[in-house]
Order: sequence, then C-alpha cells, then structure tokens
Amino acid sequence: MLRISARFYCKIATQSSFKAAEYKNKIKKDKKLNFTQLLHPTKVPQTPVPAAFSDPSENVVEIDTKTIQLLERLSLVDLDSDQALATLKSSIQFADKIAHIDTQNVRPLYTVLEKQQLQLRNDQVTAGDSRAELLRCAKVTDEDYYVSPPGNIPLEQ
Amino acid sequence: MRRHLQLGIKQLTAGYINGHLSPLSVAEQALQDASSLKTLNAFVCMATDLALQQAKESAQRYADQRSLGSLDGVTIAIKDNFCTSQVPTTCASRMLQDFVPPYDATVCARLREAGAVLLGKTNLDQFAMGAGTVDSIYGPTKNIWSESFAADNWRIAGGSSGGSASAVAAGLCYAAIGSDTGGSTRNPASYCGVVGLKPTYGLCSRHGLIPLVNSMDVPGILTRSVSDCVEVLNAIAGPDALDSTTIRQPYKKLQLPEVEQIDLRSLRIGIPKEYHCDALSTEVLETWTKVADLLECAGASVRQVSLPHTAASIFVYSILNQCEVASNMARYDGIEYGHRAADERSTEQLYAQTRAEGFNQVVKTRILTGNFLLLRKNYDHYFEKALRVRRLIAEDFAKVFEASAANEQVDILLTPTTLSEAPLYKDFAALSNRDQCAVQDFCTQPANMAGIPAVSIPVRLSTAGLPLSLQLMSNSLNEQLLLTVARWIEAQVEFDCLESLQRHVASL
Repeated sequence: MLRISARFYCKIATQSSFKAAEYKNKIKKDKKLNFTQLLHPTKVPQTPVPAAFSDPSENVVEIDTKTIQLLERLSLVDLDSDQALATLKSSIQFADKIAHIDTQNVRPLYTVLEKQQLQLRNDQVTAGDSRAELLRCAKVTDEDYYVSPPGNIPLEQ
Repeated sequence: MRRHLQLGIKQLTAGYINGHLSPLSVAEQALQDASSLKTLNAFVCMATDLALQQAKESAQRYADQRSLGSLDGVTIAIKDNFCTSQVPTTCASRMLQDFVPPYDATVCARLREAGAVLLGKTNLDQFAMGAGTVDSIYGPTKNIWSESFAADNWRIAGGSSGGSASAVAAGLCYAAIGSDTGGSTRNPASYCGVVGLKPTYGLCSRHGLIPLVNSMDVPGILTRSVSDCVEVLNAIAGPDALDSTTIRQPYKKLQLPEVEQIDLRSLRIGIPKEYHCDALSTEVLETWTKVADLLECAGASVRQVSLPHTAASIFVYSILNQCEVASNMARYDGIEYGHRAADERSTEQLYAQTRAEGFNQVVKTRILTGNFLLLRKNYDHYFEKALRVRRLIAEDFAKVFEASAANEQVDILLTPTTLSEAPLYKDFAALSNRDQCAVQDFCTQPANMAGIPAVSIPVRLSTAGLPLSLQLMSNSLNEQLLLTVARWIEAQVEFDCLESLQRHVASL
C-alpha cells in the first residue's frame, strides 16, 4: 500500500514545511499566463455598461400600523425593531424598481419547465407505513396524535 | 502533505482498485483533517461513525472486486439543507436544530447508492438565505485562502454553500453538494477557488432539498476539477418520480473529451456586455478579458452580445425570492417537527412564539416582505409583474442561444462569477444581508431565472493571493458543452486548488 504521510499540511494544523510543494509551485509560476497580454482586440467591455433601464425616483414607502399588524398576523412573525421596519421599507423600495419596465403582452413565467407537461402519478399508496417515524419528529404527541394548544383564539398583538 | 489529495476522483478510485489506497484510511485521514481544521467551521456536524462504517463497507467491496462504480469510497460532504436519514439536518437554524429526517434526499440517496462516504453536513446561511455563510447559528465559515484567521481579519467563504466550498478547497473531501437558488453554489466556489456547477433546473432532483425558492432551487456540485464534477453529476442527475419538476427525458451520462482533443474552432462565445457593472474589480475584469482572448486564440469566435434585462434581474430575483420564502416558511409551526416554543396559550400564540425563537432576523424580514408583496392589493404590481419581467430575462438568453440567424447565435456565455475576490469578514459584515445579496448575486442569479446551467471555475490568484473565478453559462441541458469548455479553460490556466494549503505552510 502506498504510504500516506501522516504529516499535516496546513499552518493551523502544523508548523512543518513542505519543500517539494513549494518547489513545484515555483516551476509553475515561471510559465504562468500573462494576464495583461492580449492577442486580439478585446470584446469584453472595459468600462461599466450603464443599466438599460432608469431608476424611478426613490419613492418614500409608508406602511401604516394596520398593515403591519396584518403582515404580522399573516406571517406569524413579529416586526420587532426599527431596524426590521427599515429593512422592510427598503426591500419594498428595491422591489419598486421594476415598476416602469414595459411588460405589455408578456405572460408571467411561473416555471422554466412550462413546455413540459407535469407528470401525474396514479393515486396509489406507494410508501410504507411511517407513522412512528413521523411522529418521532414532533416534540409533543399523545398516542398517535400531534398536540397543539387551544385553537380559534386570535393572536395577541 | 496527503499525497492522495492531489488526485482526481478517477485516480483515487483507480488507487482503490489496484490496492495502493484504501477507502478506510482516506476516510480516517479526512475525519482527522476536518477536526484539525475546525477553525474553518466548514462542517456543522460530522457523521464520523457513519463515514467509517461506509468506508469499511466500501473497502470490503473493493476487496471483493465488486465496487459500485466511480464514486465508491470517495469522501463527500453535503450542505445541511439536504435531508439525510439518521443524520441531523438543521438548515443552520434554531428552527431545525434537532431535526433528524426519517428519509434521504434523492441526491443523498443516489450518492449513498454509488458508495460515496458521507463525512458530514456543511455550514450555510440560515435556510440558505445569504451570500456569505455568516448568518448561521453555528457561526461563520472561514475561507482557507485567508491571509490570517485572527479576529475578524479573515476572508469569507461566500455563500450560502460556504461550508461545502470551504471543505472542498481545504482538501477535506473530494466533492461536496451545495444548493443554488441565486448563485449559492457558484459564489462560494468563486471565492474559495473551486469548481461550482449549477445544473439545468430539473436535471437533478430537489426531493429532500429543503425548499427556499421552488422555481429556482437546484442542487449544486463543488469539486476541485471539472472531471470530478462530471463524476458527481453523472451519479445524481436524471428523472426522479419523487420530484415532479425533474426533466423527464432520461439522463445520458456525460463523457468529456481529453483536453488535447477539444477543438474550439466551431465554438461561439458570447460576452454579455451588461455583466460589466459598476462594482466589478479591475482584477476580475482583467481575468475576464484574458480568458476571452485565450478562447479566441484557440479559434473560437468571440463576440459581444447584449442581454438587456440583466440589470433588472436582481430586483426580480429579490421579489420572487421573498414571495416564495413567505410561502415556504409557513410550514414551520412547531407542531409536527422542529423547534417548539413553550407558549401554550393558543395555537396561534404557539406558532408565533416558535417562529420568533426559531428564525433569525433575515428570515423574518424576508417573510414579512414577501407577505407584503403578496397582499391582494400588491400581488399584480409586484409578484405578477416580477414573473413577467422574469420571462423577458429568460427570453434574453433564448435570443442569444437560439437566434434564427446562425451568425447571431452563441453556444456559451463568458462572464465574471463574483465581482471581486473574497471580501474580508469585517467589510462584508458592514453591509446588511439584503444589500450584500444585491451585489453578490449580480452575475449569478440570471441563470436561475432562466433555469440554464452555469459553472464557476477558478482562473488565477489576485495580487492579495485570493482566487479569481469566471462563470460560463449555456442553454438548458447543454452541460456537455459547458463543461467541455470549462475543462479546456481549466487546462490552460492551471489553477492549483490546493495551493493555499502549501502556502499556509510556506508562510510560516
């Protein structure tokens, strides 16, 4: 069997040196490509290409308390800090930047596989009885049931 | 130096077959190395016992001359958002911190069946929402190419598959699985100096990949060479009855020509001009320019093309991401699996408290924003609008790949992957997650919009000694050509993925 040296190769692991690799490296460096030398007029634009669409003026986003409460209810997460609110507002501003793009007669692209028919399978049981396995993932169970606290009580806000 | 690290997967398994190497000793050393390199924080969980068990079984198969094929005994790592049976799968979130899936993702099952040895699960941004692998409950992942690991003076690995990229770059495994929704495989591949492939949408099954954005998510592959990438792709690709969004036509295993046999003279390369955006670094531009020139020198026709909706893409991506996140994250309520809060006042209260404790700020804000964009009064203005612009973006690609006039067509697009070398942690953390994603994903997310394949390959080192990479994109299901060209470039630039390891030694 080929002997694999037990020596470590990284500074965090060891302080020993590895001459052979350094040497190999040196040879390699000598014939490295010259990245400033070109043989053809380049097709790569050498200056930034300005975005072909204009930015709408930074419209100020205002969200009222009612909307925030609605969002918290729908999301079941709390908007708990001024910073979170600022991020929400700036994300909406960010989303507004495509508003002016002309999409007349352009259909929404829901999936890139739109030309493929979705495969349907027969309505038959194919997997085995995995009740025990699945229930094991839950924190609280009672016999063969998941357990939740009383329902139909509105979220305190 | 572990000499076998320099080998490709093909050479490694050849070593197993002729008995010069053993899967068990390779796995043992990999586990040992992973523990010595803990400072990188590439792994969130080691599957030590399982790995040794798998390696033993593999060694036995080789001894019996009935190996399972080209991945038998090859050490791999899997991003912690793929379900692995009996191995915890956390998405680096408190929400799933103690979740042990009862099943394997299809990708994991296929790797298991191919005999690959799973070393462990790798770090990511919580639920894969990020571009730095800095937003994880297990702490950030560090880049092996960092000049220093002190304080916050180290380089980020990129993300969100930063743990997978870091593990491959540090020689801890031969291949790692990542996921790619807007660049999450290619971005860390670019920063860590490894090959990162985002296959065509639907080529690899998403079954068991915990969903972020269903219409864009794909499993990704990270390796140290293009050939290794092909070996892994061949093992995991193909239709899956458990994922109705896989492409139904049978997968034909790729076989790349030898480098000397690659002829680029009939190849048409497009340079999409809009990919030169404001923040592009001089060194990346120089690299992009030089590789375009190399291709032209080899006889390929290289010309500039326009993908006019490129700049709009990042906004569309942000909208679709947040909308699908809002919907996908609704499943986490603490009842059936995952974290459950102690609040028993009411069902709604339990849900809310569970989610307040389980998600970080990034996830919460994306859910709230997504639900805002999906409100009845906003739905058309944001969500539907974004889907319409998404079609324009996809059509931009179709126009260059399928132009009616042959002289306007191109086969491959060449662009940067990231706009710079890997940033320092302190610089990266100075901007918010949302602002970072807008910069980091600029060149990568358009491919996810259109579902086309894209690969990032390392090209050279920057003056700071950090990897600089480029991206190639091609038309759907054109992986064969995409990776052939990638392999050709790889051979010209001779990037040494493991150089960082030697340098760490040399610098002391």
